Amino acid sequence: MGARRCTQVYFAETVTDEPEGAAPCPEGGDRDLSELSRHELGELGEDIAAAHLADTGLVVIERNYRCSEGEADIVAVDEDEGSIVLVEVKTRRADAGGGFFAEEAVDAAKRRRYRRIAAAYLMEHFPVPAIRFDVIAVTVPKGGPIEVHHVPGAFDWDAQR
Amino acid sequence: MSASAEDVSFAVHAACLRGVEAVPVTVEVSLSGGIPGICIVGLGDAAVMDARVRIRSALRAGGFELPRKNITVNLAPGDLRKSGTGFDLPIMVAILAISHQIPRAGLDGRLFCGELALDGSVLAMRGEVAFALLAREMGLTLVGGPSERHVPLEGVAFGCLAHVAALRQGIEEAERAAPAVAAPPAPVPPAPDFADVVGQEMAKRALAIAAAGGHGLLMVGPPGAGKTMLAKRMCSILPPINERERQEALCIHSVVGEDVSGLLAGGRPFRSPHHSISAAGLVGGGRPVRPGEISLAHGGVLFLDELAEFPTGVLQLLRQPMEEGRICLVRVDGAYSFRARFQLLAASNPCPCGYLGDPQVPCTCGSGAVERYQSKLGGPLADRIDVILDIARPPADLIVEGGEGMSSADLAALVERGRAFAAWRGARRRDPVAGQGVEGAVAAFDLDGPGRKALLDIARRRHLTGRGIVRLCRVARTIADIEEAERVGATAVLEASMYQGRVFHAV
Repeated sequence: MGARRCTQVYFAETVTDEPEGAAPCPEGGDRDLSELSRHELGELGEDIAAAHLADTGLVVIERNYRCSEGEADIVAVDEDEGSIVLVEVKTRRADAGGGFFAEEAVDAAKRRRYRRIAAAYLMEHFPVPAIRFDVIAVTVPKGGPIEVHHVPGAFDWDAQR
Repeated sequence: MSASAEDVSFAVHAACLRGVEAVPVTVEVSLSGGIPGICIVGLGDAAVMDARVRIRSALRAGGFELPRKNITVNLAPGDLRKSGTGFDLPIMVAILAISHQIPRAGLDGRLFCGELALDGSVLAMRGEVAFALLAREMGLTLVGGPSERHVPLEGVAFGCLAHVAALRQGIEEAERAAPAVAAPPAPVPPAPDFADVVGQEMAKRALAIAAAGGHGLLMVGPPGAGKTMLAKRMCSILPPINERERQEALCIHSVVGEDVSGLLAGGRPFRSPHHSISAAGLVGGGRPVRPGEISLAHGGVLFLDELAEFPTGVLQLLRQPMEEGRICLVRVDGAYSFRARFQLLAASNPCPCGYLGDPQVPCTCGSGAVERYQSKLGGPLADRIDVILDIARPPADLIVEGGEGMSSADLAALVERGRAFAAWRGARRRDPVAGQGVEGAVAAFDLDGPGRKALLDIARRRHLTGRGIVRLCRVARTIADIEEAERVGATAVLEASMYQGRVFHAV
C-alpha cells in the first residue's frame, strides 16, 4: 500500500518543548507506518513538521531549499519576530536511537553546514531581517500518536552551542 | 535550597585526587533549552569526559530518564585539572536532583565519589582513604561504591551505595540499605625471622644498629652471601609503626591502588624496586602526578638491591627525601609534596664479577673495571649511607648443618633499647649545644676522654673530613645508646669505625 501523505491529521500537537497527548487517529488511516522506507519516513516527518509550523503561526515559504552548500528542510517566516527560520527536521522511529533524542543528531558538522546554507540564502534573498535556526524532532511510534518536538533557536551563528 | 519550581542550578560536593590528597570539587548542573546533550566543563581529562556516556547508560538502567534539555555540568574550581572517574556519581546525582527525579533531602551533607557501570551499579574508587580524610575534614559523609578493600577510619562517616536505583528513595534510605562492609583482616603470613640466617652475626648486629639510629646501610659482598635475605628481615626488628605514619602510609597506598592489608595488620611497608626503575617511578611524577616508591616506603624500608645497576641520576634524587623526609615535585600547576621517611638499605657487589675480597674465589675483573664499578657508588648518596658492611659468604658446613644465631626477637630488643635511650637522652637535654661547625657537632655527641682520643686517632690515620667525622660520631652515638651508656666510649668509636668503608666514601 503506498504511503499517503496526510499532513494535517496524523500528528500529536506539541508546544515548544513539552510533548503532550495526541489527537486521535481518524478513520481511514490505512497507512502502515512500519512499512515506510527511510526516505518516505523522512518525507512524512517533514510534512508533519510543516503542518506543525503552520499551526504555531509561522508561514512556510519554501520546502527543501537547495543551494551549493546543501539543503535546508524547511524555510519559514516568523512574522512576530520578523525573522526567517531555517528548520531541520529529524524523523525517527520510537524504538531506534538507544536513549538519544532525535534532535541530538544535529551535531556540530550539521550545524556548520546550516550556517553556510543560511549564508547562501542570505546572498540570494538579500535583504533578510534576521535568521533563526530551529530543529523539529518527529518521533514515530509503532502505534499511537506521533510526537513532534519543536526546539526554536536550537543553535546560533556562533560556534559554541 | 529554595523551593522554586525552576532552579537555575544545583550543586553537589565531590572531590578529585591531586597527588596524595583529595581536593574538594563542586559539581554544578544547569539545564537550558536547545538541543539536548550533556556538556562538561572544568578541565576534565578524557576519563572525566567519558562520564557522559556512562551516565546516559546508568540513568536508563536505573529507571530514570535523561532530561530533554541541554545539560551543562561545571566542575569548580575551573582552573584545577581534574582526572579520574570519580565524577560519574556526583554528576548523575546532580542531574537527577535538578530534574526532580530523586528527593533532594540530605544531598547537601554528602560527598559523592564513585564510578558508574553501564548497568547502574556504583564502583569503588582508587584512593578511597584520601577521600575519606577529606570528608572527615569537611564534616560530610562520604558516599561511594561497595568494595572488599574498604578501610574503616575513625571519625569518618561512610555510606555505601550499591546501585543508582536506590537513590529514588532518598539518599538516607539508600545508604542504610547497604551498610558499609569493612574488609575482614586478611591472614598475614608470619614475617621471616633472622634466626633463619646463619653465620652473619656481625651483619645482624649492624642491621640492628642501623635500625636503632635510622642510619642508611649498604651491604657489600659476593653474590649469594645473604644480603637480600638479611634485608628482607629488616622489617621484623623495627618497632611498631606509629599512628600518624600509619595513616599517611595508608593514604599513599590507597591512592596508588596498592594492597593495604599488610599495613592494617600493623606491619611496615617494604619496597624493593628493580634497578630498571625510572626517576618518576622512584620519587614520583608522571601526569597526573603520582607518588613513587619512596613514598610507598614511607614508614618502612626501601631496599635497593644491586645498587651499582641503578642509573646515577636516579640515585641522586634520593638526597632530598633522605634529608627532609619528604619529596617536593614542582610542576606548572603547582607544587606536590609527598611524605617519604624511610629506612634505606642497599646491597651491592664489590666488583663486576662479585668476588673481590673473597678468601677462596679469585676476582676476575681488570683493575680499571673495578675502579669504574666502585666509583658509581660514590657521590652524594654515599654520604647519606652511614654504615657500610662487608658480607662474606658463610662457610658451607654452617649452611648445611645450620647453627644458632641471634633471632629477630633478640635484635628487636637491641633496637628498642637503643631508641628508648636516645629518646630519654633527647628529652633530658634542654639546652641546644651552641657550637660552631664540626667542633660543636662533635660536642653534641657527648664523647668521653678515651672516646675523643680514639676519634682523633682514627680521623688522623684515615684523613677524615668533617663530614666523615660527624658520620662516625653518629654511628658511635647509636652504639652507645644500645649499650645504654650516656657518654660515648672508645669501644663504641672503634666499632663505628669498622662500619666506615674506605672504598666508597669520598672521605
